[in-house]
Amino acid sequence: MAGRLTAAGLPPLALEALAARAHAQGLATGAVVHTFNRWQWAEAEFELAKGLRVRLPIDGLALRSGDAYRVVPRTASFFPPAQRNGAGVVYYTAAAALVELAIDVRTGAVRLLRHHTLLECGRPLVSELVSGQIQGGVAMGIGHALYEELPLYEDGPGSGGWNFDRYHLPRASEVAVFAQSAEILPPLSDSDPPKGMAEVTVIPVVGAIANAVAHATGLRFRELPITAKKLQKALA
Amino acid sequence: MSDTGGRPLSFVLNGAPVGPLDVPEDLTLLEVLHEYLGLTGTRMACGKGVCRACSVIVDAEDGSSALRPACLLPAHSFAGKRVRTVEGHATRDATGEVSKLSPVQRAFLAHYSFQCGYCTPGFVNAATVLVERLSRAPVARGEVEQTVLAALDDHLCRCTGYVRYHEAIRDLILDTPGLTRDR
Repeated sequence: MAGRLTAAGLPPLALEALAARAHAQGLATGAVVHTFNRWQWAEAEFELAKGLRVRLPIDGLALRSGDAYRVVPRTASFFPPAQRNGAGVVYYTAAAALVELAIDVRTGAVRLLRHHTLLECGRPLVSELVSGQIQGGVAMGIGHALYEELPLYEDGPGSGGWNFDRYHLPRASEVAVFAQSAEILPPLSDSDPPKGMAEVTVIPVVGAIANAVAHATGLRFRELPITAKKLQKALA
Repeated sequence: MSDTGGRPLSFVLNGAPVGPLDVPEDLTLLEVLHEYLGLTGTRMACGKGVCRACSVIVDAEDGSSALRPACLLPAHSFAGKRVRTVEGHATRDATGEVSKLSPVQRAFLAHYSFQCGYCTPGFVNAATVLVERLSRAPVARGEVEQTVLAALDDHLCRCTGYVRYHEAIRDLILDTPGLTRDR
């Protein structure tokens, strides 16, 4: 009922109650998974309990019981054919972001003061284009984190009546245009190839901003964007 | 086109007289540039004067210049005015071919400033107006970054994150004698 476990006529069980029981009985209380993708997720079978085998789109699993994680051995694995490596996009650029921000507790407005991106892209081919992709991606991530809202339902952007007067794209003043930096880490080896980066820097800055907001306010947002309106309401 | 009927429109475009053209009342300047004059460098994007991709320059009698959204304003509101578009900045040879780009255009190219290029004409026009303004009223070197931000901040760009546009114009201003003062 409303996403909670229940039985006919009984009140739904709260997550806290379920978690307390799981801890008390030594059941699984956390999971860490590993995944592998080659244009298709690898799958594997795991025996979660005696006689309970499940096939999941992951290739590694550890479950927590008490304070310890225990690796659950695979009983079978199903990897996509190696020929799919030929599709090319299997060697990815890694990225990370640091942000410093200020929050106006009266209006809820978040202002980015500085940000820093780390990138490991193998051997860059055109450094200006790599940094251009970094900067553009970060700005888009900032928009995703703070400004660009696409509400569902009738009056959402599907109405056809939306434009830049209602959809706020970050301005230069909102992306710390003169107070940002990036660091391209050296290739992993002499033979490290150039790696596809696309717009990977869109991603880490979003988490960095949400974490910075949490550090500053103690408020953990689970839905984006963290608009001034939402933050103002949560701070009230 | 339109059934409202046209009336004559004349203005100065990129230094040369245009018209009289028979232009309906309800056409925007952008439509006249695209459809009557074959100048497609001025971009249509939001159509509401928000994103500034369509910005053109209007030069006033006193030597100052201002940006105007061509997507929104009626062509007839430019009657008799001196208008510049992105096509008007480069130097051209006798055959009309571009022989030399403007300093702003060269700065944007050298800095890899744009990616898809859709917002670029608006940025070129805004930066040109800024550089010309500073040549009349120089700014302290320590205020160049905030001056660039203020001048370009209304212009939207989805690709670049703005850094290479802003750094190009900051460096151009700092490197051009007469645009800045020491304090």
